[in-house]
Amino acid sequence: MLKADIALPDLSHQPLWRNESIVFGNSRITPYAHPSLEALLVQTQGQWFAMVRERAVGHESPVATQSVDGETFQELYRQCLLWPLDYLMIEAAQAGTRMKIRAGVFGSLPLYCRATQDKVRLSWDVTDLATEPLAIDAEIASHRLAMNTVYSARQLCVGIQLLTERASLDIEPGRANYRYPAAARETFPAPLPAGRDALAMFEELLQRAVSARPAAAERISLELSGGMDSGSVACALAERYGPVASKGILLDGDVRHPQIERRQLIARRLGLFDDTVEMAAYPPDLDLRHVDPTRNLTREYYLEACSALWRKALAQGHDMLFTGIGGDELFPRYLDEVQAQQPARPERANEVKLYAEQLLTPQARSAAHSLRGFDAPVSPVPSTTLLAIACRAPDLARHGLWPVNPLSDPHLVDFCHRLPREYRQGRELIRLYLQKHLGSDAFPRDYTKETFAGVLPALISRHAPALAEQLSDCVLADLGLVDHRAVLTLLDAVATTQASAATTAFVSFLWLERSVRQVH
Amino acid sequence: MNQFNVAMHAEIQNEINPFGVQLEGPLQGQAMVGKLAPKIDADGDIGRAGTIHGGGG
Repeated sequence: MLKADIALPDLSHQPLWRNESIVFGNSRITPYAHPSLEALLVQTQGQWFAMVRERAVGHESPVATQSVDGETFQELYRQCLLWPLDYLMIEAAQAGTRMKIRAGVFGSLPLYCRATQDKVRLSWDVTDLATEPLAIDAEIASHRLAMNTVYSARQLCVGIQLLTERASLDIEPGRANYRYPAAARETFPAPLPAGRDALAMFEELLQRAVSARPAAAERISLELSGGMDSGSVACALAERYGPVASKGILLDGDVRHPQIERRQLIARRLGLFDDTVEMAAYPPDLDLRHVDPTRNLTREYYLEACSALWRKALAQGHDMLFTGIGGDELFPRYLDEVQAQQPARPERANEVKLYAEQLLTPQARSAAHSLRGFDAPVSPVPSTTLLAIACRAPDLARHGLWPVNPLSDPHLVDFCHRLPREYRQGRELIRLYLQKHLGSDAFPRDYTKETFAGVLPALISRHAPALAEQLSDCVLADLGLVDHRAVLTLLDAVATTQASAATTAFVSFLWLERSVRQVH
Repeated sequence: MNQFNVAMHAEIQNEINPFGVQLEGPLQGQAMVGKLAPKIDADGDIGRAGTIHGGGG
């Protein structure tokens, strides 16, 4: 939500707004300029704080600069911490030139931080911080290679930290102290309040999530894959704003026809202005030779197609992109519910992990098998959702689009995670919601899900000789993390079999190899 | 599990701080007291060749 270059001695200066930035000495804080965001600066004797936050319905735009007494400062500070939508806050104590950075709950456009002796650089774009050769964190890289989910302050590059949700970073000359928040309270299934209807409560919370930010139909594009998650966001948006624009990436193969039919049905029944891009026209770039230094280090696999879709939104004058991210995590199973079922057959995820681990050196395997003590605590928004948001948000911001992920709303997450089992099992509640708004024929129980699974196997197979040549030098092998021969063996297996699990493991490696080449 | 089996849904809407944002006050205005490590560059009572730790080794 902001970028900043701060020399700690400059904190003793009085801050002021100049050219859309907060300036003090030679330092500056520049909020990401977007109609969905607002910024404010509050000062009192010897202290100030600056905040960039999502605009919220029902809240007046703030006065850009407020100079207040100490008591009012405390009250405003507290109000800002409890802001109902996402935010980033930077506060400063002029004596001692100390500062603190704090993040909100939503993780919409997270902040990366790099602090040196007396300088701090902050940015939503991690490549702003990668301006010098950086050491690769072998432990993080090993977990990434083993396809373990890591949501933590520690990142791929040593010295760059992610400000995770609700975390804070205290900085004073020569010292930085990162603090995770307390873990979110655990959720357990619980009966609904007497007389309350699960579907009505779900509708109310989803409606609240899509209506929380000032918006209008002419500002909105919706990513509509044709699945249940984006379908439910489409229903809520149409109810709130009337017909809005929807966009989707059309896939090839067996899933194409059902995807087209279902998307058309949704668009017709909700009156959406629908548009599409062809996946085949925007294949993922596999070339490792020309590494783009401005690319995000954790990239969306299908960024090229997504970018084409986002450009369409931009061309129509839209600046808000609604997505279905978070839907996968809305209806978890609890441990006792899983154990009560038949013994699980080997799942695809395990097969993928086996392929991934075959690439690792013994040292990397040892690191990847070690329990981490540095993960962020349990968050109100599930960590896998936060990672998915973080993966796409910087690229969206570069396109000038503000992401809104209603199914990641922490109130909705909290509600859904506490539902009695019958509403979570088989995603029953969202199914009921879709039935009510789209009819019972839109999502029959055995509907063919649209999936990108067919895209990369064929693409890698076609480019296998070129990839093998480009991987004759492998940075992750040079770092002692992967076995070079195992990489080429897996590439060969993918090219020959085009098997889904092997491809997933190889692509995960390939994307990390590209990120490491970018910064190392 | 039964001890958790209580209706919690109603409370969600009403809490002031539902997601546990830490509500400590802002940074203190006055300067922190700085302290330098003692004897770090000076000879102490115990020999410390090759180390800054008193016990040697």
